[in-house]
Amino acid sequence: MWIVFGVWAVFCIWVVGYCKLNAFVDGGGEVPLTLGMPSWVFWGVAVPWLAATTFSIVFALFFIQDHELGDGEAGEVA
Amino acid sequence: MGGSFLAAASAGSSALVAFGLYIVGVFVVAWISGRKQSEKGFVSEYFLGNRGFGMWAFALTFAATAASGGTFMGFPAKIYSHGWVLALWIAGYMVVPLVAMGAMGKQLNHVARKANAVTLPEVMEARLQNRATGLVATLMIVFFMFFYLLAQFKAGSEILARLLGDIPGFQAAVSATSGVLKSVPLGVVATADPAYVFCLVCFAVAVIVYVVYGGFRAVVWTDVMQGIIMFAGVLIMLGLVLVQTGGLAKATRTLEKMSPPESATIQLAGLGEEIVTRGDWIEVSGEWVKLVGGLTSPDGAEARVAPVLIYQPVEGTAVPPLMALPAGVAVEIADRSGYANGHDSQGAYLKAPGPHTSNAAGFLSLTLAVSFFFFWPFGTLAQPSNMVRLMAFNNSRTLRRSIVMVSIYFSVIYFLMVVIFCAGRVLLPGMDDQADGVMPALATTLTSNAGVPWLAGVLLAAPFAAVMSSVDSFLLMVSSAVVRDIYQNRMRPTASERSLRLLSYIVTSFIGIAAMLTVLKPPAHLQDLIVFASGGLAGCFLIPVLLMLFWQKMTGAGAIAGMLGGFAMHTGLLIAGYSATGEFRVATPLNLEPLIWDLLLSGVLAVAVSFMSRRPGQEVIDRYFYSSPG
Repeated sequence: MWIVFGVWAVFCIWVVGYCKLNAFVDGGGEVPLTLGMPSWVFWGVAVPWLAATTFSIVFALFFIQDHELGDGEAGEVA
Repeated sequence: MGGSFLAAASAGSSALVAFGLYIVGVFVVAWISGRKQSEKGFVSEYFLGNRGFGMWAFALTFAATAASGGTFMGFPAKIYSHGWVLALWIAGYMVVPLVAMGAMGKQLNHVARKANAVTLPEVMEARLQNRATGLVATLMIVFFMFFYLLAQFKAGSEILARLLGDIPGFQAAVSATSGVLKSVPLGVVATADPAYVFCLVCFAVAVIVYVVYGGFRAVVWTDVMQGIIMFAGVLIMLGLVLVQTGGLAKATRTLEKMSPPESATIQLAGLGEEIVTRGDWIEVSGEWVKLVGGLTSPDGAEARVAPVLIYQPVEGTAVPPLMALPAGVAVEIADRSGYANGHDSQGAYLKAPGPHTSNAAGFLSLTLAVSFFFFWPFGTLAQPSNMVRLMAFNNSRTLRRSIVMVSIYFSVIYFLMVVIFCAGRVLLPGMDDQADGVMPALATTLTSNAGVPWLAGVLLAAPFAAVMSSVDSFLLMVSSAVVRDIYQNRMRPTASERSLRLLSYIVTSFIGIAAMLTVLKPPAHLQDLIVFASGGLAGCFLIPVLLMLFWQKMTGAGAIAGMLGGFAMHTGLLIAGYSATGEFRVATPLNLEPLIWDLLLSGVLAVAVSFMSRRPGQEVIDRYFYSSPG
């Protein structure tokens, strides 16, 4: 569980930190684009999104351990 | 683009056929699911599908339930209104599958199996050995979930009304409904909108029938079908919008030149017999003016329209259907006012914080961005409807594979929606006054431009599927709380399978009908009710459930204190918000999501009271905790 929360924190810092520096900007110049979207969206949202998805896939497939969950045996309710 | 944009939102008869096929498909899937119900253990089968769902079913029911009507109606409206900043607003979804499924999925499923529990209150009651815990949890679920049901019923009805539009058969049905409503000697019913009521009844009956018949199994398999339709709908729209705008870079550069509209009033003198109506477009001194408000003093000589929206024409955008005013008509524009943030700012739709009509700080401040990055994953994790799904998968291998699937699913749905509707603004300028209708309007426009109008029915099925897949889950959730947690566990533990079956059918029908009757005249601020309900559930359940699963010293009294603490903070912030604004709105101290404050109080109380109260015996700990947690 703590790994999951740590991953959340890492991506939060990446996304919000990058966007703070590059998306909240004043000035009338042309907004730079990358692959057709504003560059801050590409590097601050799209790339971390891809990284988070990749991490989730690798983590789920290779690091979450399989456990016997039980067979729904009858339990007592107090 | 001819006629009003709202009219454009109404699909043609070919679209209706495609949509009808979708509805038939839902019923076929529900019927097959109902026939496959296990005869063993009715309650476990009806409310949890006997914990037998594999990867496809589990992953898609989780994803489809999380995507509600707001995903396909409210979210596109926000993208349309505020631009690319919505990518930052929704960015928290990148870790939703990992957090919401990975953090406690295995442990919750394990405890639920050990306790032989079918509902979340039952899990809490068994793990914490405290009957009051289950009762408090049940009451909270019933209270908050009912708000959810109301909102989704309204959304379902509105989508259906938009789809049916001005089809003759529908108009005849509306006329008949109007007659019926007027004959009812009850003010609320007699004054209800007949088109809305007709669609509400159709929607409600459809959902209630398949949920009552098929239970959780039907809900899950219809969710699977609905999840596939949502996924396909988004991909089709993406392809169409990119082709029709000439590519994303071109669309974004055009969007950069667009500025938010100004609001104003106009006086039209010398109109003569010409009539202008709400939704018409006129050109005044090279600007495009949309008549949004009502026409006053239509005496043939002079008329005043308030408000109107004024757009600066931008090369590369679609041209609205401008109406030619006769020579001699004098037009005077007064009271012009721009957006509080983003007015006259080139590139407002491409930057943060995004344009906003009334907030000078813009749509998304940095603190709100942090709040939402927290809210999406942890709010999703804490929804009881998602927790129930975590109790239904068949083994941990299914969970792992489902995290993979949902990660890809959410990436496609949420990020690509931002792309679609940012580019869509170029094809459909001038919908700021009807932003909630931008999804069906864009679907209709894209398919008409592509010469495949029937495809609009498939695309419009996506938001409808989102609403249906949420309503069915919430309906069953409330029903299970009443039948299992209140009746079977507290009033009649020895109730027979037959009586439980009958009661489940009756309660599910009753709750559905009650929700339908409650929204015959829908409250104005329903979206605020949704926010209140989802935040409230997360504030009440997140900390108590996490501690219950991972902290051996957690007690029933601590869980109750945590739930009541979250409830008290949430309702307290609602009262504060209402006092400050006069609207049904939860206050956001320090510009932070209310959920963060709810969790703080809930966590402090849950831990403090747990330390002060007696924890369950060692045999309970041994029973519910893994010997080697992983």
